[in-house]
Amino acid sequence: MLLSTYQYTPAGGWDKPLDSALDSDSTLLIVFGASDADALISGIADLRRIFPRSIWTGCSTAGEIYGHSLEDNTLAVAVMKFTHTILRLTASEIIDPNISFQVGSYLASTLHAPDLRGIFVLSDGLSVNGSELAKGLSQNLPQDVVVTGGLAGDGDRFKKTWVLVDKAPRSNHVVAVGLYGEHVGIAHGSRGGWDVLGPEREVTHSEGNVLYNLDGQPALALYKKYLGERSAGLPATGLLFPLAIRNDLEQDGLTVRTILSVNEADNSITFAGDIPQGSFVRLMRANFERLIDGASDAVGQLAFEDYPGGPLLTVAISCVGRRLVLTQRIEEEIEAVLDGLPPRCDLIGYYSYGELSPLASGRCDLHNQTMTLTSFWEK
Amino acid sequence: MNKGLNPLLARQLRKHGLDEQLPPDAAIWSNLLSVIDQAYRDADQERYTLERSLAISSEEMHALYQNQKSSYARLRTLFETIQDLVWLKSPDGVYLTCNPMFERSFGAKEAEIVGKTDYDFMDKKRADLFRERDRTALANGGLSVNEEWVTFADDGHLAAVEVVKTPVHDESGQLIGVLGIARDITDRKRTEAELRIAAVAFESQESMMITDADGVILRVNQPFTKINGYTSEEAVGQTPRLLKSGRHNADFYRAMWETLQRTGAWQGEVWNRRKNGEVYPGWRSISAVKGGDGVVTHYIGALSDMTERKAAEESIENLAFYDPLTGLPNRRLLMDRLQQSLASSARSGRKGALLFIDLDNFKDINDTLGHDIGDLLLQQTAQRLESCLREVDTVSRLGGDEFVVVLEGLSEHALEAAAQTKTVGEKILATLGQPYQLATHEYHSTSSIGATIFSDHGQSGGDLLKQADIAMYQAKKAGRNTLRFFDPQMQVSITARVSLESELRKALENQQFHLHYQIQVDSSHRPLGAEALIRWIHPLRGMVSPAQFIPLAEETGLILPIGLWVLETACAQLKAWQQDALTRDLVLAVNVSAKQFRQADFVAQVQAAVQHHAINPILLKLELTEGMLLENIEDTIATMNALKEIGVQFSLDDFGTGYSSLQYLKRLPLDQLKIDQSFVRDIAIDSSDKAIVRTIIAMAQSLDMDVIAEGVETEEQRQFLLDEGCTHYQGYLFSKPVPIEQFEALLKQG
Repeated sequence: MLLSTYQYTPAGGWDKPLDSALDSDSTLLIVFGASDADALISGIADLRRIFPRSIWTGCSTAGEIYGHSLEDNTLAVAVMKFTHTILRLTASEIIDPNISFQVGSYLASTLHAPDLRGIFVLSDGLSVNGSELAKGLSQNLPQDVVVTGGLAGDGDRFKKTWVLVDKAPRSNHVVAVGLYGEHVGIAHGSRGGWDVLGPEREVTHSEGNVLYNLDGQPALALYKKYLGERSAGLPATGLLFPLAIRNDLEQDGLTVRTILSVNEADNSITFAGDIPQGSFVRLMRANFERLIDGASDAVGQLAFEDYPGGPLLTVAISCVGRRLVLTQRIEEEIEAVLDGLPPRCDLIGYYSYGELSPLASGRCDLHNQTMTLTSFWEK
Repeated sequence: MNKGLNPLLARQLRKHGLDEQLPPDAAIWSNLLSVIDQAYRDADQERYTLERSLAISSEEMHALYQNQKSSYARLRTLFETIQDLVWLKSPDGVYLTCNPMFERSFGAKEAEIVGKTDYDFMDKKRADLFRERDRTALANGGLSVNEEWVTFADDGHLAAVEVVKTPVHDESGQLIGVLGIARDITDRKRTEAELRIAAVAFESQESMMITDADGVILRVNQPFTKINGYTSEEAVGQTPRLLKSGRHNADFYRAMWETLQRTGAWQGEVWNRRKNGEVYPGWRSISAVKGGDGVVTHYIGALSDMTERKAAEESIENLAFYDPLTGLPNRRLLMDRLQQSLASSARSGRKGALLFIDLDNFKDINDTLGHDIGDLLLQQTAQRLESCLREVDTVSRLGGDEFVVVLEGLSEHALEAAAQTKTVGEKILATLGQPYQLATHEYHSTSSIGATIFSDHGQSGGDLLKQADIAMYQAKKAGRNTLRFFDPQMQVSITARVSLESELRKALENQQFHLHYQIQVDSSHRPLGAEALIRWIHPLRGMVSPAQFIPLAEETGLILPIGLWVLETACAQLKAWQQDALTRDLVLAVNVSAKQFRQADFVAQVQAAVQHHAINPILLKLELTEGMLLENIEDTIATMNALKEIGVQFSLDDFGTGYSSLQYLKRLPLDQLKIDQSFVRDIAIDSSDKAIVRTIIAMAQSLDMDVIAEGVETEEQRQFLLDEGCTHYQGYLFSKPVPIEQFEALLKQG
């Protein structure tokens, strides 16, 4: 495998010349960029020119990770030219979040083959119910197929996200790349690091990923009470208080959900994944040290037993909620990830509206507020 | 202290291409400042969010806690109000909680019960039983129900309870223990028993039928079939016209129904026809049964034919000599048999014995379980008594729970006869002490026996009964469930008492009472007055000790005329003293008994005496004792205040021997406390007596009362009292109680 990573800024252009020798049918381009794609149009045009044969995937972000730095309004690109591994791309439109499960099922069955090793999924960040998407994917795949990925971001605006389809940014789509053959190595890790806060509450009214009432009271009112003057910053400031759903299947007994939008008209909150009615939830709050420890722990989960050395790419998908909390210290979690990776590993990634990664059981699920890592190499 | 810059600041310097040693150029400096400014703003916002969220969540937690608390309080109230016994035990049988009803049954508070097991409260056998039942309930996994009898430890009442036990699990399905709920079903049991009794009664000797309000026969009994020839199947669904003989006209039936409707009952002679056509005369009684709303629901008809009546006449005959309840000989037959036994004893020289048996606490069973159950006990007692005795012996029931046994043909020697009697008596005690099954109740009873041995020494049956009765009371006094023999010595002392009583009655009219006076002085030996003490001088017995006759007078009520005599005599003496300057100011104290003080017209008596003798009431001092003041304190205060109005004084006698508390002393209009002689006696040697005396004196001073010490016999005692501030004395040191002449001589001597 040959690997190169690049950074593009509208002002400075590419940080190094793009290498057209890497373009092939077995080349995977992973591109993360600002949601305002117009500013990046010249960079994307460069990529289209240099890597016409390659398979592209990518999405908009709430911040691009490139090496040890975090930038906005850039492109962070990884180009992996596989030697033995076969790649296949599929995509689907998603306009209504209620069909998320069906979309997941469709993507999985399209990519399913006996030698399928892993799927890297990037989805629109707003028009999807991530947990249903993950369920649709995992229910149609053997457990040993590693499914990772994330939901696209839109800074702290929650207005418009995109994924790359046919080498162009498009909203309301999900794109998935399948990696085939025994030579590809994939490792994954995902950890949060939030603390629970306040009493446990019962979800007394919800529909899918839309939450109306907790303990019979409007959920939005509760968030506003906690946020005080920072309510004006909703939905972004809602990320300061993710919701933890009691779930015995998770390692720490909790599934974390992050806010996507609020609806003042009916006092509801839309989350990146399901909030089942009748479930018990607690608010969560950030603890700086534990968030950064969480990032380190995610690296620790990566299984590099059969990594023989050589080029290695790690894709970091971290939740926008973490960025909102850590603010200027956000790079500490990126440094914590880099510290734990093998020396020659390249790192790109982005801040997302949701992370996809397997649970301890191996079944893929939506995560929120985590640092989720996927590493790729070839043996 | 700090190793280098904060990592964030270091990173920002790096990002801005700055070296911490070199000042930056102006443009970069401005960028850096805005980043640092943002960092501060972020920190402020973060702090705001954190502080706010902690405050709100703490508020929410508090509200939840309050909710929880009030919800717990509600549940607790519910739990405590439930009239059932409720408790929860861990799977190991350790009590986790219980309600007040349960506390009552255990006679312990929840705090004393929780953490303990049944083994801490009851015998092992019973605790084992409960443990086993808990295990069964746990093993069943569902409800398990049983009935048992529980004695409530708080008031000793016995209740039938239905116990329901249920295993209890917490939210996560973890077993917490066994919940027990016991409901008092005593009333239901009683009703069931009554129903059973009614059912038995229905199957009596008399022919009976029950009809509905329309006269349709619902049930008949066996004798009905026997008399009339119709089986139950044939009779049910018919009306009593089935038995119609045709010998009565319509007016007869109209009159019968009219009476029945008006009074609810009818009885009279009727002619009936049996199934075989035979017409016979019968005595029919009909009663209407009314529901709670007063509307007739059923009629019960009883019928006896002439042969039944004949039997009834016989049974009336029986009643003359036999107790109808137990079938035992009654008092009349007993006295007859006893007479025969005395005659036979005279002939043979052998002794006999009469045992008077009384059930212990029989009243309780009637009160708690009802007379029906009490009657069952009497019947079973009769059977057991008969089983203990030989054919020749007599058992009889005098009435109530009193039984008498006559044993004949015992040894010729009194002691041996007594031993034989004792054996039989103990056998009776043991037999009657076995548990009884009374309907559904298991009941324990004991009895007390008084026995007397007889031979024909001219004693009458009545004497013997009295003797045995006296002995029986001795047995009761000795703690019940025991046998006592009549002791002739007992008779002697009773006789003596009776004769003393009759002489005491005569003593007043025969002017055998006298007052003696014991002087009371101050610290300079100046006479202050005297205590009047009653003496009985009997022409034959001499001086009878007050200790002997006062209790008897109290018991017989003679204390009232005697007390009045003392009061009158004392007043007369005060009047006499008014003539002489030497005695004019003397105060005379008289003792008042409790009975006397409690008389409704006691105040009037005192007033009459004071007026009649025209004395200065302040010179009359009434001595009361602590005990009499304590009962019914409110009445006491009212009476004392009324007397105070008259002007008399009060002294509290025997002070310190009772339970006087400052609290009530304060409320009594007392003028003087009298230190009891028992404290004065050892004042010089007993330090606790010293302390008591000191306290009494201090108490009197603080309540602004006089204090006088009685029984002062030595100068040493007087000196101690004086040192402690007590300046009034009475006792042999100054003079013993003496007749009035000597007393007045004493005064004249100075």
